Amino acid sequence: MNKMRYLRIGIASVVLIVIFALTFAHVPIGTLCALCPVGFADIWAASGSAPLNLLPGVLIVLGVVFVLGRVFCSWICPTSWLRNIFGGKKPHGLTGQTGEMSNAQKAAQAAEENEAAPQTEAAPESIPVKEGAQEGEAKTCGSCTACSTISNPNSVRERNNILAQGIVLAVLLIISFIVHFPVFCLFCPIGLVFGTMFAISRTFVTWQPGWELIVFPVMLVLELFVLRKWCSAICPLGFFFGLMAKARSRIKALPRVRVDQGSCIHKEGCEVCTTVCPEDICAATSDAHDQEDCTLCGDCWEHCPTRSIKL
Amino acid sequence: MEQMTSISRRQFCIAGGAAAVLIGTGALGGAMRADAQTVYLRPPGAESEAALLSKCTRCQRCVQACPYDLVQPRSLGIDFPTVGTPELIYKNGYCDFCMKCIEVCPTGALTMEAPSATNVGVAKVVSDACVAWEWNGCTICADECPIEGAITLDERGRPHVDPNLCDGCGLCELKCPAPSLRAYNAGVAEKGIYVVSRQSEAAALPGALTTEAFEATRSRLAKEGGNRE
Repeated sequence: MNKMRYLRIGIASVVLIVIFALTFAHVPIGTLCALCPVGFADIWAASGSAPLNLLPGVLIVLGVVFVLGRVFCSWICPTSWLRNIFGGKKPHGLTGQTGEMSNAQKAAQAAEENEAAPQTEAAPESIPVKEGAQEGEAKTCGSCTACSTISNPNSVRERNNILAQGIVLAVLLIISFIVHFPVFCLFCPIGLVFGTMFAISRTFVTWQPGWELIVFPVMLVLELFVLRKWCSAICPLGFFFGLMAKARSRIKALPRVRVDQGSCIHKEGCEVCTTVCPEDICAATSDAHDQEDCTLCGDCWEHCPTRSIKL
Repeated sequence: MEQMTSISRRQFCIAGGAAAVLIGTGALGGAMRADAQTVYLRPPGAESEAALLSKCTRCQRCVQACPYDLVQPRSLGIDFPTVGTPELIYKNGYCDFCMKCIEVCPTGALTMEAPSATNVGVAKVVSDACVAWEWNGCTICADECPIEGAITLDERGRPHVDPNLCDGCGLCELKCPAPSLRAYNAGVAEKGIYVVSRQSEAAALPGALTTEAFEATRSRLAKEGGNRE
């Protein structure tokens, strides 16, 4: 039950704990900010000179995203870590809380329900659908034509929007250039998590607690739980990752979610992978463009009732 | 790739709102800094207050590297753009210029080339907090000072700092026994000697300062010292 999710929480926790522990051991490993592509661009704009020593780390991060996909988003990013811990049971993705069918899907489902109602009682088999799904019953197939009325879930899902992220990034670089300091660092949820962490360690050293111990967590709640679309519409890091994802979607050999169409029961009405996917991607019918938003979280692989999903 | 990325009205509003907040914060932060004219005691290698703020990515490597826990992230105050950038706090130790913070800085916010790499600041005596200044007898700062002649005692036994020799290591501030030798008084500085940034107005004023004058000038940028555009 949600093994992958606990694994993700665990891995992100290990990263945070290691950085915190090494602070007290005086090992200068740095926070994730030392690898940040946005920080690189922002400092370049603010100071007028490229911080070339940051470049290797930035290129490694972008390289990892290019090869493995947006693994950072679901496995490392403290944003997903917080959402996974405090966000309830439903999956949290780039576009906010998901796991519920979109309106278009619901409408199609309702139409199908009416049509197939008499047959539902006699459903011969039941396909387990995880929490969050509003319709758990199986639909019998064959004679009914309902399936054709269900639109492809991938065509109605909300996507990560690099245009919106690009606007934020452009504005942020311009304003940083004008005021000569990296502005986004003051808002970045990753920076706020580390800021809170170092505010705690500072409190232990100086015994002078600062306002950031209250302000940073409040900002995090606002950004991650009130402004749910932070990742998909604001995060400038997502802009860089989105570009990488677009580039990698053209290369077939790179790791991605693959579905064994022989054993997949999507045609019989199974929507487990769509329901558990934080990005609402229907793995069964997804193409490379749909998988640009895949963060390789592994939830579909874990929950697929027929084990049809391979990485 | 066939489908062009489009932007929904909602996403556009969110992105636009975020951009507006960034612009507002940038403007407010810029105004705060220009208005407050602030300057803090930064780790060695900070070229100037403005240069450090423009280059620091708040990765906290210098904080982790400092073997004596002197380098600490700044806490949130009215001068909010500086939050999380490193400052020196001589609470548990003093700076021996081991250069570890400069070595690990990935952005060039701290560099070996900066004059402050070997000279982080200058000590200022606070006349109404210093025990020797009032009653005579205490010679701890002059005894502890590792630089010959940087702190000298005058004929009345009062310490004076030679700003040309002092490198701001903070040993005098660390060792100053004033808090344990005098009754607590909220109106008087805790210690009799503090290290301040060389860009500060306090550093530009000659001689010892009263607590009031010291508090007013220690974090204010001296007019000639700043690298402001």
